[in-house]
Amino acid sequence: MNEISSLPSLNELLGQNPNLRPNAQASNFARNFESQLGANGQSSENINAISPVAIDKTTPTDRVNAPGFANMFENFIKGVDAKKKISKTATQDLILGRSDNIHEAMVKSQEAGVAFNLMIEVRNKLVDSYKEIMRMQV
Amino acid sequence: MTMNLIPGVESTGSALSAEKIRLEIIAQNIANSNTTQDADGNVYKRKEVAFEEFVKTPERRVPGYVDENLYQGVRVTDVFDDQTPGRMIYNPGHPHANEDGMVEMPNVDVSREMVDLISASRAYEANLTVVKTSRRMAQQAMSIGK
Repeated sequence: MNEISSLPSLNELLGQNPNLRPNAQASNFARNFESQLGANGQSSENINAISPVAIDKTTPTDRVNAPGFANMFENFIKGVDAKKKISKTATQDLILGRSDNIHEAMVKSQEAGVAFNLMIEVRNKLVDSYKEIMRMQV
Repeated sequence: MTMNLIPGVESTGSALSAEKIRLEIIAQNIANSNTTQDADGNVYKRKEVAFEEFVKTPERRVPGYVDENLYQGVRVTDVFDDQTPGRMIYNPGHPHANEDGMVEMPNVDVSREMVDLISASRAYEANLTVVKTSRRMAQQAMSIGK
């Protein structure tokens, strides 16, 4: 047996991560579904019984305090900003002679650019939907 | 949780760095193709790089997401000397000549170095194409909504 074949393959390495296994999503879904049933005080035997329409058990306060879209979007913008900062540092390092990897700085700046474009797309979509609502006939 | 918008860029970045080092070593070989004495007083030996695959394991795992910290890249593990003997030239006036008046020339073959140079430059180019394609894929996906 040579040395190359004794190294772990990509599939084996991916298999070590439970999220990357085949059918991991399906089994995760099944597990979540079962745990939800358990939390609602139902057993899986009752699953065939005619169940009433699912009742929303959240209170109005819960709904107000829940992290909303604004929160999510804020985190996203922070992520884009972080990418921009990484790109800036890489370019600075290159210009100041601390690093000599042109490709690294370029790749980082491209990444930041793509993230920024994505942010703009999401913003445009948001503004569009706002305008659509404002045009509603009363 | 950071965004991984340009897929495969981490592996490609490591390959670009590795090819850059390979190019540097080739440049060194060509520059020293007539060097009969190095810092230790021996004749210059042609240098070569050894690449090795490395797996970056994730520091933390977020359930439900494919972790972008998990990737396989390449790195230079060793720069080693080519031990084949260089050809001997009769030149008694040379300061590095031995008792018989022979000078050992470096075992660098410039034509071979040129071939390696082309190979390194093409490999670099291929990796750059991966970055470009990957970025274009992200941009094309973003134009779905337009």
